[in-house]
Amino acid sequence: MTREPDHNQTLIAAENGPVIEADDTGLVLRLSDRVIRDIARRIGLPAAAPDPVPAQPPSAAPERLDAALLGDIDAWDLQREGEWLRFLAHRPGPQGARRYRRHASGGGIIAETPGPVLGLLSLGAGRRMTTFGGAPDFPHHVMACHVPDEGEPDHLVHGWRNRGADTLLADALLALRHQAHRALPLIVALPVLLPPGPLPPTDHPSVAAAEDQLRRLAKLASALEKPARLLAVGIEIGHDQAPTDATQFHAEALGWLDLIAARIPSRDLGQPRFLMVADCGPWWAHDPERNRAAIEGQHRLFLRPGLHDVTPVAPSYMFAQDDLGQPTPEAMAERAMIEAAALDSLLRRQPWTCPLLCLAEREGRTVRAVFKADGPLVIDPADPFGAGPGAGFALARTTAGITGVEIAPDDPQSVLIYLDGPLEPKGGAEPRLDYAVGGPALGRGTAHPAACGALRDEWSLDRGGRTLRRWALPGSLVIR
Amino acid sequence: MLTLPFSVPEAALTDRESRDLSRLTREVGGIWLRAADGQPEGWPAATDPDAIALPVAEAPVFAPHRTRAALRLTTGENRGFRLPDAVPDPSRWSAAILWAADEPALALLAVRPERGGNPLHLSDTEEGLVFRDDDGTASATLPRGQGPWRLTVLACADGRLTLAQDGRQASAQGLRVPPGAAHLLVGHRSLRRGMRKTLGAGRIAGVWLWPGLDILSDAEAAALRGALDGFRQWEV
Repeated sequence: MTREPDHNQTLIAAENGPVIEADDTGLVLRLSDRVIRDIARRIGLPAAAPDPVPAQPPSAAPERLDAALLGDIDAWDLQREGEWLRFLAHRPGPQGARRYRRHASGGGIIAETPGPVLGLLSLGAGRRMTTFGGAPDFPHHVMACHVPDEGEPDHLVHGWRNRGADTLLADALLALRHQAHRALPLIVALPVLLPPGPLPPTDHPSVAAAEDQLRRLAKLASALEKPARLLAVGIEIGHDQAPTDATQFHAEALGWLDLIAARIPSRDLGQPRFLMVADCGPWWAHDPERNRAAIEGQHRLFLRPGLHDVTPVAPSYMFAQDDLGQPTPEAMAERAMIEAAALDSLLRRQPWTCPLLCLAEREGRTVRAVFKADGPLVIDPADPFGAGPGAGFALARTTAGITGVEIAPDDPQSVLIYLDGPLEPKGGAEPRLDYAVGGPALGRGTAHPAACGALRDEWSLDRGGRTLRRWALPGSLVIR
Repeated sequence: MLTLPFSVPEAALTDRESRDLSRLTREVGGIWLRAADGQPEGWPAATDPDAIALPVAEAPVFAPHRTRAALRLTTGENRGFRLPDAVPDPSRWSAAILWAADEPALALLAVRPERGGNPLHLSDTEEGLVFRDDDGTASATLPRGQGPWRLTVLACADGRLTLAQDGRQASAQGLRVPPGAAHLLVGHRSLRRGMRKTLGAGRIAGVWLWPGLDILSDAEAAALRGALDGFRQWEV
């Protein structure tokens, strides 16, 4: 449609309309939501709320009530405002005495928080959806959108039943912010269980479940009269989809990301940021030939994520598993810490780069593996996961074996793999270099997946006496 | 001007507020008359090509004013338009007008029942901006306002008139609206020559009409309210 002539002069136009104009005071252009958020962050506003005019609720005058109505808790200054009971209280947790609210119809207590309500959507099968009992460390800043069981009241805010990957991530992020005396937002965990098997098609119940979770987030935010934002979408796909072909898995994963991204109203919630833990499978999946499709498929997705913002956070081989191949509570806490470190880095516009195998090329009796990394690489001499002398590297479809590996003296982001013979193809296939694709068969009770390695960068995070490292992602490439 | 040989997301376009407003107006069955589309013989709505406002008396004049296309109102002459049967139910509607005037422009907009009886009109007078009915049962007044162009919003719902401009609102109760469709009148209030004392000098760059919707308070009009705010921020 045509635009009314006005005092602006168009400097740059695209096919569908003007993009940059000038008026007599300067340039005119429309900044994206993420730029506005960045400006808000940098000038120290708790949040940008560029949302359209909020609906004007009938502003009932606050009504003062006796705090004893809340039960025998350390609370005072209870007021009812509209649908909410608001009060000051000293609650368990590190957050100190502060202002809280509870919906008048019942349900859990949440803290009064600055800025938008932040959602953490999460899609995965067993290894992501493992939960265990207990409440978060910041029980009133983290909440989960439970779908109520039959006969249960569907409160806006729920109490705590268990802790899972997302609530731990929210907790870890809040702990980072609390330590630095930064603002503590309200974070809502939105877990969605993906069934094992190929990635679900459009009409699968899990897609509807994701939409339902986003609706619950929007409903809560509107009840709190705040905008909602999606902080990240955690995904864990790979072994659970039992792929037989890496190319096909890559294509299906991209299609599925398109599908999920299309269900997220990005104008309201922001462009989705996908965080992915590279899944190395359960501890008994040791055979590289059987693991390769899943690992190479994920590797392809990391190298070519299409139009999506996909950040691999960590390889799952760094997380200990129980007898059933599920992460242990300690491993889940570690995963949450490293995810929080990655997300915090991304939110500060700094990249999070796990060492990623990009190229494997032959140089005589040596294979040079070139990694994308944020700093020099290290082959951990302690080999904490039992990767063996190859540090997780292996050759496939060739008769040659490995005699040793080292960081290339001329390039700290490359690894040299020394061969015991010429790199002859076997069975007519092209020789491949694997990293963390398989390993020796291990017995029951093994702590880490067999598909593991010992390559990392120099990043480290000391939490509670344990040092977390940033390990290289599993991958498999044809040697060029 | 540099032209890129591809399209960009609509949110990145500098006219995204106009596009939003236009799309949302079309979605609710509303009408946007833009002076840029106006001709002396007919003024088609940008949102609905079948809705064409027709001249009433003297030939209308469109001319640029302060870098915008505008309908020119002349003192004592009826150079306005009417959009027949534009308001099927005059008990609930809202409208907006983008206008400019140095001296009081007098009649700007009116909603006049087809079979006569108690029209509502917006006038820019010495005393201020007045939105009232002819019978004088309900009248809302605001200061004339500032700035070269002014965006004024009117709403009529549940017997209540509301007038909004520059972040201020005034409203009045007790309105009685006769049943039956009504015309929308732009730049006059009488549908004929004469009534010279109601015709002042001013400019009208655009008129919006949202029949059946009170965009100042209906919950389902929140998006339209937001789009109109965006338009005011960027394009007024």
